[in-house]
Amino acid sequence: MTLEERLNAVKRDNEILLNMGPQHPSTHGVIRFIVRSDGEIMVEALPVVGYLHRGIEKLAEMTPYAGFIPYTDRVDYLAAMFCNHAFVMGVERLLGIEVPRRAEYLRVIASELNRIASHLISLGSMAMDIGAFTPFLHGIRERELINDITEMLCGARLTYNYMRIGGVSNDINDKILKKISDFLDRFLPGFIEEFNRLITYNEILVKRCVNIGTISSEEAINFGLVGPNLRASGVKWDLRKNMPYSVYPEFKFEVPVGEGFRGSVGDSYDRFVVRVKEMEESAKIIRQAISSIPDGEIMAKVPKRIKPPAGEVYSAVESARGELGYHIISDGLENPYRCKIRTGSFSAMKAIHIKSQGCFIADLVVLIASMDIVAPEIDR
Amino acid sequence: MSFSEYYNNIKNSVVSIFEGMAVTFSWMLRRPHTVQYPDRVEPSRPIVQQRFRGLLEVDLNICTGCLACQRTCPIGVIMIEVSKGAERYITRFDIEAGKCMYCGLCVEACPTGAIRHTGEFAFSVGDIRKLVLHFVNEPVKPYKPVKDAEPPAGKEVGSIVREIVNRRREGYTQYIPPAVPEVSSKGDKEST
Amino acid sequence: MLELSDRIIEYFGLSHQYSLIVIVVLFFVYGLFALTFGSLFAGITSWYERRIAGRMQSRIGPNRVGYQGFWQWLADGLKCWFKEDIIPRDTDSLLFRIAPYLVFTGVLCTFVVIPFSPSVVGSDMNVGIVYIIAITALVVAGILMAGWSSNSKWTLLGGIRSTAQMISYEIPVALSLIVVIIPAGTLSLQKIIISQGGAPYNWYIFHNPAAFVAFFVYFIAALAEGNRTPFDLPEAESELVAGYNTEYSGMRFLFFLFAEWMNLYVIGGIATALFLGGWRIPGVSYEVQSASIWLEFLGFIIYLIKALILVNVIIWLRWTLPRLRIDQLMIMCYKYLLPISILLIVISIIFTILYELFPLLGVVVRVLLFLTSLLILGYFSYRVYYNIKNFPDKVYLKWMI
Repeated sequence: MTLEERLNAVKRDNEILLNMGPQHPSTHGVIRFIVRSDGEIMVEALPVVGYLHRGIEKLAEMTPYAGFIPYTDRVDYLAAMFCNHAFVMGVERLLGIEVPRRAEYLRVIASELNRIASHLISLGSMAMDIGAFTPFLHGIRERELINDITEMLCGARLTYNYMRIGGVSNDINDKILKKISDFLDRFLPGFIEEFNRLITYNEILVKRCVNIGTISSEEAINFGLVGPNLRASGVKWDLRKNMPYSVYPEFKFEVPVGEGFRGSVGDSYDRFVVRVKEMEESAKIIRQAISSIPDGEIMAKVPKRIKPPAGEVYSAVESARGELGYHIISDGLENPYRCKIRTGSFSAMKAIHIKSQGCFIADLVVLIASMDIVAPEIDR
Repeated sequence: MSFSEYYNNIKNSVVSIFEGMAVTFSWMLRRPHTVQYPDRVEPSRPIVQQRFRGLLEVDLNICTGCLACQRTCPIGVIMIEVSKGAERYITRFDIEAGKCMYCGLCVEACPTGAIRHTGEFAFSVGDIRKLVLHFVNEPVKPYKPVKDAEPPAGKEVGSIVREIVNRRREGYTQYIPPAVPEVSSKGDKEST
Repeated sequence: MLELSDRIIEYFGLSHQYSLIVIVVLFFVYGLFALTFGSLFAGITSWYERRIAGRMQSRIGPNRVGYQGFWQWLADGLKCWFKEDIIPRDTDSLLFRIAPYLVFTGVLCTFVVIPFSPSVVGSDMNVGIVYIIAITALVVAGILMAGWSSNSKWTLLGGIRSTAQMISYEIPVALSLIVVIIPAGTLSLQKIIISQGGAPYNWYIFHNPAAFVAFFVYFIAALAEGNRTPFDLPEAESELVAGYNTEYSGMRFLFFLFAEWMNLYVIGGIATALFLGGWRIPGVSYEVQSASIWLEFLGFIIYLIKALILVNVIIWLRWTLPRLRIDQLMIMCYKYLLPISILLIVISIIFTILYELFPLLGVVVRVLLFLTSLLILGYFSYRVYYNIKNFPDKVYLKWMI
């Protein structure tokens, strides 16, 4: 039976079947929702994914390890540094290479800048879906400054291809450091406070987001949610603290956890505020990192043709959307045998399906936006 | 709802809307961040940064014909043909600018720096076949690197590809790579 | 209008039997004037709104078509005019075609009562305010027709939501206007303006505290009537479709948009006439003003400026606030605005009676309210200054960039 036949079988007489089709104005990408509702209150919203499948995991089996890194950029283009980092970390573990400290610091700086950029877009889109168009454009304006910084650093503004197996590709100099520190002086606390006054404390946004899609901590763990979605439900789990990697143990930062700021723990407003607080924490990490970059090489000694010994590794990174993991199986040849990517948005789809029962259609938009899903991450 | 909830709703709404309106009004008084392109961009200031990964170009004076860039490209955008025989000539060096993903792996693999990114990014054409950049017009001898010497300074970065970009409105004809000149195997004995 | 016709007859020296013809011609001219004014205003507001929205979002709005993009609205209008007039096959064809005209007429007919200057008014009815509330019910009928006849689930939902919103919010509009009618004693708009004074503390908004709050209640309720953010759920873009005007294209679609922008002026115009003193000039009495042409023209300009300031505030609100959900909209109308406006009527009655007994109290309360409002404006300027101080981007006041 096709999907439509199955849905028509369970549809009752007073329900209508609406199609939030693959193209819709909420900009989260190409996902389709089939909504069964009786006018205003929804019975269920079934997500249909797969419209953006590009076969990245299959392409990995035909590309050498060093050449696969630009593909990993496109898994989640808003947080591309994290995708690079996770893959490169996995291959380094297979090869047993140690990355020089300067390269690790550069990786952390680039990753945290990317986290700020990704959160700016996600918060802006959530505000835009609710109707406030201005915070999105303010966020884009700040993100342009980050794009300028990454353009100076690695040459590209969206798909960075910055990390290499054994280090990073370009070095940092004083001009870039000064630009980063100017940006941080402007961003924290000036921009964050203004953003809060504009939209985070706005009563209409609070009333739209509070008690929508409340996910308790057990439910969140059962759904398999990760990242800010999980932390907003009260679970204090951050890969940078619980399973540390790279040089994160050397930095002092907090992990914001949702505590029901205006409503219940784990609702959409918590997810909004947790992301704002995470941006502040990232800015603090970058400040600490800039002031103490060690000297040294930016690339370790790596063989020309990378052929890791046979084995498998799972390496995960705390990306802007949660845990981004790569399971790489190598069989000693130049191309990986299998490269499976685990993303946070995929688990969020089921959470949306379950949590959308019983809320308004307008709330569905808020729920989707607050889970911060990007379509390319769901179907790679 | 209780009276205090009612009163708090009204008070929070009024205060937060007031603050929000003050923020937007203050932004109305400031200078817009956008710059009208290409009218108001100052011509002396470069639009892109120095490390920007724009269109690729090849300076064939420095190219050694090692095919490292062709091997490293994950997509297979670079097409090099080197004639076999007594003397090697590079007869074809095509880069498909439409397929390229501007990742920069080829630039890192090149030993002499012949292939490099430029700052050009404006290259719109009417025919997709024109998106392929042909860099070889006549067969070129590859550069033989002298030990412990710097490669010669090539042309200015960007000048080669800018010529191609500026000529893009000319008609498209099928590109035929040039033929290798005949070389007799007896060496270069001068004949009368 | 009748005085104007009398003056024209005296000026040209015609006999009085032509007075009917003169009146009919005057009505026709006034109708054309209102149509032109409304349409021009709607078009120019669309350009103005996009420029203001751009500056608030740290970008430039349209500035290509003509000097600073001024002909953008003309370009958009021409483009829509030349579009194909698509009428879907399964629609109720007659209702589909009539709906935009009903909406447009409903908004345009309110221009009959809005006074532009002491003697330029379509018809100074002695039930002016009731006429306004009644004629805007045509808009409701038009939207319902549009939503139903488009033969689509989404438009039906949007149309019904919009209808429910508009008929609910008519009640706070009417009730908050009554707060001002009580001290004025008349329903006709011209006479209400005449009974106010010219100087700011003589306006009805500072007449008693109830009128002060009633201004904001009227403003919010009129925004909801006009389907503007924060109440534009029926026509929201990101709630998937554009509501009741999804299936419309070309000029029919433009009629809906025209009606929405014209409605901005109507909101501003009525609020100015009732609360902010209309075309009164400070220090000039009505007789002096209506006698001289230049003072009438000045009154027209003053009225325009006050209404445009309010239009600015509406545009500003649109680009700052998110939108309310439909049930929150209804809660706000029936649980907040309606009880508050009834309470305000009672308070206004009490204050009016007190002012008859103690005239000095009237002056004291007026001055106090005027000073309070100046304080609020001052606090607002302080918050704007605080914003500018805390962020490195500096002030840049060139409006045209």
